[in-house]
Amino acid sequence: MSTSVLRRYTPPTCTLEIAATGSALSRWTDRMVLKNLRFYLSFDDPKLPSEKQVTIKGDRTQLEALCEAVEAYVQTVLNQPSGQLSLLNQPSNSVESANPVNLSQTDLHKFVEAGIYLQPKGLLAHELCLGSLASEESGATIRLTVLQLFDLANALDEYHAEALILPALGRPAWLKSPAGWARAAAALVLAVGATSAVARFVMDVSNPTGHLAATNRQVEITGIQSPPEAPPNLPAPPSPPAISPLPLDPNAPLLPPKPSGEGQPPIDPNSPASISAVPVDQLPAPKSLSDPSASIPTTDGVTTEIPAPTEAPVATLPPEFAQPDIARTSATAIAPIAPLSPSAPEIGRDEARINDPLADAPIESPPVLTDETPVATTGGTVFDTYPQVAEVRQYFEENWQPPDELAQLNQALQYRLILNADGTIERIIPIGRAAAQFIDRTNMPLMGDPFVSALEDRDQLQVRLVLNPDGKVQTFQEGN
Amino acid sequence: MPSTIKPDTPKPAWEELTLAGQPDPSQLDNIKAQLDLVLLALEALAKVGSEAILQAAADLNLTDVVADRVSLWRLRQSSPLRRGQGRKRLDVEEARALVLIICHLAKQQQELIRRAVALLEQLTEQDREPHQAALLGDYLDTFNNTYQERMEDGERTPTEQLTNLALKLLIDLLFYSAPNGTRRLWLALLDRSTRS
Repeated sequence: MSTSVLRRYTPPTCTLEIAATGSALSRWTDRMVLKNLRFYLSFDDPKLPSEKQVTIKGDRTQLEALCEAVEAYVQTVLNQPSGQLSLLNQPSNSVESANPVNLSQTDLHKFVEAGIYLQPKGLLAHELCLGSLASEESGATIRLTVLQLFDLANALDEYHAEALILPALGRPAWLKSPAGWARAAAALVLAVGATSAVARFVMDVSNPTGHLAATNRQVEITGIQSPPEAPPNLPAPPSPPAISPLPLDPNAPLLPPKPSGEGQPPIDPNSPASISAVPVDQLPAPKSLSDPSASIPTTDGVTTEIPAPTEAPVATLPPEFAQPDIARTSATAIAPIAPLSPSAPEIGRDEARINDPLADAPIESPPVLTDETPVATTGGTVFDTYPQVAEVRQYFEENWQPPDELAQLNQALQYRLILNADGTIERIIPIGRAAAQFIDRTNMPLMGDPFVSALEDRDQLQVRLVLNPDGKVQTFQEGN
Repeated sequence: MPSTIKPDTPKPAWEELTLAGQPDPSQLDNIKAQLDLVLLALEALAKVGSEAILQAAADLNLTDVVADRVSLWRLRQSSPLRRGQGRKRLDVEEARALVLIICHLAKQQQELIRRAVALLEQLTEQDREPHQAALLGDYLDTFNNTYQERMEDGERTPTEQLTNLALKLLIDLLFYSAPNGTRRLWLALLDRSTRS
């Protein structure tokens, strides 16, 4: 099959194009299955001649790394109290300090393999370090204005919301299909630690679910309880912190004006970037840097694409989701490059998010090596490398009572739980809108409360939790 | 096996959305102050008045929280930066309502916000003062005046600092006008409120 452009996002200052090859596996599924996803991102700077316009391109892993880097960075910038920004403009700060050295090591390694990150170059300019995306034409870095960063973030966010990497084919039919069996074989192969090359081969042959799927947006809104902007969209705050002073206290040093006196352009590298002084490890963003499983082109990246052969979320997809969204594709493809063009697609996208139970699911983290059939009684499966994974499952098997509203939504709730060495919860990351909305119904332990037994040989463990509307609970380890 | 599991406790719906329970008072104070400032910036730039805010509340079905001018005023007045006594406590629900309202309004005003940021970029690049563009000049003047009028320390705060605060808020507003603006604002509020 030929490669075709699936989506084109065209905010005013950049164009993001997603292309992929339709897979022959599509005939096994009721949705479009795509492979070889590529993306092309060009920055449209009217001040530059066309031959100097930068285009970068890469594969899905790189795109996800880019998504994550941009999202995390934007949030870091926003988290920055204005008082601290004064540092931004102290010319004494060296350019080196603008390096993301202030990212904690744990955060840094998350996307260091793709090498994609951003760093501030003053209040109004940002430098995108392309890492593995760099080419001769693009150079190692691209300077972005605020508006360019804004548009890029929106385009990536829109892509992220639309792109579905199915965590599982889900329908019982998978067992009947050759692909399904092969996928089970792939999981086994991985379980015994086969090389990634073998795994990749098996997966490529067999696994349609690791690929991007176009979804149908033409779904009526049914069973949705919340308006598009309902509070559930907002993640929960972190555990009670130490009392902190007001960052916006006007007595605190507010930033002096942008150092225009030195004739510096806004993207002057001498505008020392103190935004990087923000400890990014405080980012509470669900899709934040701290997700080790996300979109890292690791050598075992293959395993991150192995889907959970569960019946979990996808099983609940209404058949309407099966069709590729032709209307939507064309709509985005012809989106005008007018300054306000984001608004129109955005409305559609919001709807799409409501309509699509999986739209919010992060595409980067299909679970790794899941338990195919969660053992409800003992809590142990062959895939439970760590007993804590089973303990989490057991806890929720005892405490998870699906609310009626969820049954109407017919949607599973997914959370990423990061466990501390002592067995408490370090972070709870709801995956998707519904997960955030219903988090209060999950009987989720509070962060810091005793939860499972202590980890023996590691500092952290990341567990994906799937709470199904039928009361079934699944857990699996994520990351390494 | 899971001997240390926390006992099951029933939880009320709304405030437990925070997982950690009600933020402590200093966190809420912090959040109040930030929300008030973001609204101030919106007002200064887009001349968004209480009428528009109340309309946004109505659009978002938030009239329970922001019913009328009085309740709006009391919400705003809950900022610890404000002049005056007898502040009301802002609770999490109110904070979230304000987040939704702010982002709703920012979305409505996105074109204007974008234009202002574009002008700021342009002027800075040309090494010119932001005041030289009428839109930015008006914004900065209005912001500074309103701040000095309403805030306890308003008269003591140097204009330069206020200008920078206003410009930072302007750029923030751009990002809050995006589809995921509510999430960004909420996370920023929480992050800042927990930072020491």
